[in-house]
Amino acid sequence: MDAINHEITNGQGPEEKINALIRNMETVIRGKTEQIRLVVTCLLAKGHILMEDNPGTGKTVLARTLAGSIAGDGANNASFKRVQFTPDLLPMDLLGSHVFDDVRKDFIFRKGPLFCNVLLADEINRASPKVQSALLECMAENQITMGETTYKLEKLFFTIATQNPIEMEGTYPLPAAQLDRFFMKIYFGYVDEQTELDIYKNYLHISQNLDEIQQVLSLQEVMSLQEEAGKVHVHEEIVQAVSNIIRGTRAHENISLGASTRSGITFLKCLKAYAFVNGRRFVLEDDVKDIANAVIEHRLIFKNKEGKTQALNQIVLRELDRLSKIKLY
Amino acid sequence: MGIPSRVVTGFLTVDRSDKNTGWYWFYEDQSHGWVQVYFPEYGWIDFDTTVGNEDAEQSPTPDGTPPMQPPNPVLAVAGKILRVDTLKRLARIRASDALFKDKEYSGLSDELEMDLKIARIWKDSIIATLDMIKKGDDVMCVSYAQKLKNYNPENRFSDLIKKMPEQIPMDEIYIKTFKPQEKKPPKEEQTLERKVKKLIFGLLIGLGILIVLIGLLPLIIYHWYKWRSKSMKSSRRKAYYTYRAAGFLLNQMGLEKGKHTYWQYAQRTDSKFGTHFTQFMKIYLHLKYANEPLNEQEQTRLEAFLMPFEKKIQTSIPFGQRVKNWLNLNNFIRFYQYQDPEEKNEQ
Repeated sequence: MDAINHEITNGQGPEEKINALIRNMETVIRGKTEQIRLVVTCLLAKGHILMEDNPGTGKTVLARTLAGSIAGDGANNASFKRVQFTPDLLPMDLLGSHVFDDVRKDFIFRKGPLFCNVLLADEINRASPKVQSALLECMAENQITMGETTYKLEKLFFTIATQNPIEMEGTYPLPAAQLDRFFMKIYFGYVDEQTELDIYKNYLHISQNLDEIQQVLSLQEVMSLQEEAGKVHVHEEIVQAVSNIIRGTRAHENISLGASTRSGITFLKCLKAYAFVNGRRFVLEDDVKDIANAVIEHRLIFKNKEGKTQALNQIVLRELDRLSKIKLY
Repeated sequence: MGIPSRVVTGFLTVDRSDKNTGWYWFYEDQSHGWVQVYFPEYGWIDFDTTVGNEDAEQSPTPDGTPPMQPPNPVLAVAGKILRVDTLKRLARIRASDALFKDKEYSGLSDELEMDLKIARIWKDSIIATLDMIKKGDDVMCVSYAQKLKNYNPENRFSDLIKKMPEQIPMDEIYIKTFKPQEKKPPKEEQTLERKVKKLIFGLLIGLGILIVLIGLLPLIIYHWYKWRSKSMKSSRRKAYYTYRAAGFLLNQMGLEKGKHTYWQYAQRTDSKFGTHFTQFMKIYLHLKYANEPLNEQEQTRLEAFLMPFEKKIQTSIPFGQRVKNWLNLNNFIRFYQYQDPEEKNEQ
């Protein structure tokens, strides 16, 4: 579905900035407009995103492109780090460690890759649960405590985690409680035939684009966009709908673990950011429809596979139906 | 008790041979059961315990001889009772119709005196007494008297009466219970028929009008919405009725909203008809979900939306199809039907 785009009223406005970012990413990622929007939505909602699909569908490229679009070398630019998760990765590889300084005869703290603005945690489910929880705690608290000292992470800290499907070998599946920390979990899927042909034809050109990706937003701009996104108006009926959906998941017969209150708050944040990404200052029922699955589904534990495909859709559709029946006056 | 008796069933015989002489018609209501008791010297004798059943006398005797046929009436007079003397058992009647030896007289107004000493009186086919005859009753009097047979029919009834004895003996009196019904029913039937015809005619016209109205209903409702959207001052109401009108038009033209959201619906419409429905929908949704009033540009767009939209859609559908669509009541009903969201999900 095409998202709703209001016309650009002001060349320097936030809409223009977001569109520039999305367009910039589209030069590398083809046929994934919706996924790009969702990733940007998560960035603006001050959340983190988990991308899941088979290897080779473009997850890592998307993350790198986003980082490249907002990260640069200057002091005001975002820094980007990438960590490849493996089974033997240790928490201190992420957080950093105390190293003995020979000159000062003291231990000094060497910051790990977590001290950055955009972190790509590649194949997160290949690392041991110890490392996973270390990362997820940081994502939630935005700080690291080592020994007696607490270190603040960067103000803008955005994690893009990718994971292979749980069924594949050599993975440690993230427990539901941990998944709750991710604002969204999105699936990639394969592109359609035309786009794929296009990718093959321009493959050289595209990979060149990735290498030469231009920075379009500064750190400051991203942060101000985040501020703006938080101010998006949410109609009380939408809040009601969010509440109904969240509560609906707890009562549904095919769902054994429903969504938490934190999920509801996250949902609202994402709705605001999504509306903002689509150039609106208010949330629509379409926004609810578009992101409900990405935001909620990974937090639920379903009783069976059939229920998985139907249960959430049922709840959301019922709520959309209610919203669409609300009279204008 | 030692008395030999038996129960007999059969049919009461009622002589209806006035139409087909010699035939006996047995009807269900004449089926009857009675008791016969054996008396050695007499044979089987009927003991009918059914009340008021004078017909039992006519039932076949045990030895099989058919019952006596009632004698042919000599004189039958229909009329109104003027006076009844229960002591002397006399009555005076104003005759209106009469029958003497198969000669009919009608439209009479002659008065005659009747001797009711041996008359049997029926009311509602139940035996009645003389004092049940009231002044003003319509009665039918029948006489079998032998002495009347000596007279010959005259051309005029009054002449006949003059020749007859002053008090004519009557054998049977039938009191009519529903006096007015005798004459009125044909009139009523006529008027009833007319009324029914009128009613049917009216109904047909009404039905015709109804069908035309139902056929035009979608058009009427569409214009009502249009008028509402034009006349509304507040932008919320205006947008609401504009949407109703546009949605109704689209639905009638076969493009239903279905399970789509407003925005998807607008996009589908635009891609099909090349309209600016999304532009309007933006305003509509803005009003619905945003907490701020419309700006001037949006306001003018809202006002200028419906007419070009309608024109565009009407021109992009051929005339015949359009007429068909407007008359399609299915579409119309669908617009107001509640659709279960879960049902839609399964589809």
